Amino acid sequence: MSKKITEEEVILRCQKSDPLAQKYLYEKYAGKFLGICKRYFANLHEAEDVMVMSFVKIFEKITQFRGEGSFEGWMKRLIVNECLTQIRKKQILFVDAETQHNLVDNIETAEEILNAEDLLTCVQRLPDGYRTVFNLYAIEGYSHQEIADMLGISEGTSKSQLSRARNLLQTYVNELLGTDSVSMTN
Amino acid sequence: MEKKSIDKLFEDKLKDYTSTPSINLWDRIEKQIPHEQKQEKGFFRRFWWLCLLLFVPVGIGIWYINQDKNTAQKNEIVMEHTPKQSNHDTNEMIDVVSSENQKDKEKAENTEEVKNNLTQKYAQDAENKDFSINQKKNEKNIKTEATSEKEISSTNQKAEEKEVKQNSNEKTEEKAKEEIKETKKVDSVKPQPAKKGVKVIIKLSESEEPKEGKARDFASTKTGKFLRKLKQIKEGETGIPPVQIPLN
Repeated sequence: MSKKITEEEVILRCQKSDPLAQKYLYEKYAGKFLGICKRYFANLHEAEDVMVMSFVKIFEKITQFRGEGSFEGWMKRLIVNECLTQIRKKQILFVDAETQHNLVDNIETAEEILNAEDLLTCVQRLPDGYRTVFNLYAIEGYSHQEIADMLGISEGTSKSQLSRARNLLQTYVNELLGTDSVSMTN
Repeated sequence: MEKKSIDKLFEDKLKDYTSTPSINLWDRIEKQIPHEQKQEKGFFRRFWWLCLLLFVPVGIGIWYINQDKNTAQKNEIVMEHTPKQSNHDTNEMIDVVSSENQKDKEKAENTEEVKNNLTQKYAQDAENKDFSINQKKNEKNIKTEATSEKEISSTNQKAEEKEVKQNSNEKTEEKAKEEIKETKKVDSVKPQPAKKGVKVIIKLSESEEPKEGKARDFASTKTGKFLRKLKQIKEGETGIPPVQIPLN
């Protein structure tokens, strides 16, 4: 397959179940989509399983893509939905928790020192419920209302889960930076 | 501000985060996704397999039919060859029969049959056929051999054969009876079916050819020797009873 091939052509050929186009699409987006899955699942094998299922769904539903909006965005939504489907199957309990504010004062230092792998480790350390809500709100950009609808929880639960996730992440970042004394409680 | 900044920290670092997948992941995906072109190939493969499955037995059948034809042709060739042997053998048998007494006739036939390893059916058929053949064609064969090769031995055969008949008629009543029985046997030979008749004609035409080829050696055959002896007996004009020629 030539390098100059356009995304539209790839989509058309994938819609005709062209194996070469399918593999091209996989090779182009597999790394990025596995990164998404790893944010939602602490276990690598679990993340890979979800990514495989997501790609299968992409190739099955690619005929439904009408070119409205970004193709990558359409695929990302499918990936996230598949992640949430698997999380729901695990029957994660989203329990309201007390809001604690663990603040990170040296955020600029963290940005310089910590890389993506470090921060991914912090996210993966979060409980499933906290991690899911934080991913959806902070990284994917969904609102609390959307998150509540997607996960079948109340909006308040989504907010409290996010708050707890932030506090824990601040703690994990401080641990990585070696500044345990920074945590404060309101 | 700090809360938002921690969100931004993770967003910036993890939004475009990529991870290298395992090697076998595509194989797992490929097994589960639809492949229309592969299905078409699969259809054509099935089609070719079906064609093979249909044509292989047909080919084997044709081969068997051809083999049967070949074996049938071989059998016909065998059937054509066996009368030649029986013809030759019955020639010898007639020699013996003409020389022996009527009582010894059946024994001689049996012993000749045993010697030549002929089956009883073939022997009887050949006997019937060859009696008729010899009765009808023996003189003609000898004549053609005599004229074509121009040898003394073959010309003597004709005369000697007649002489043998004369001797048998004049001298012994038993031989006369024998001849009568022979003629009866010839009369008793029923006409063969049309198919077999055709074969017999072919056989006669074939049986004449090798005799012409072997005409030079006729004097050295048993028949030739026997006829020579008969001639000697006639020249001596002795009242000696007919000589019994040993079977071997």
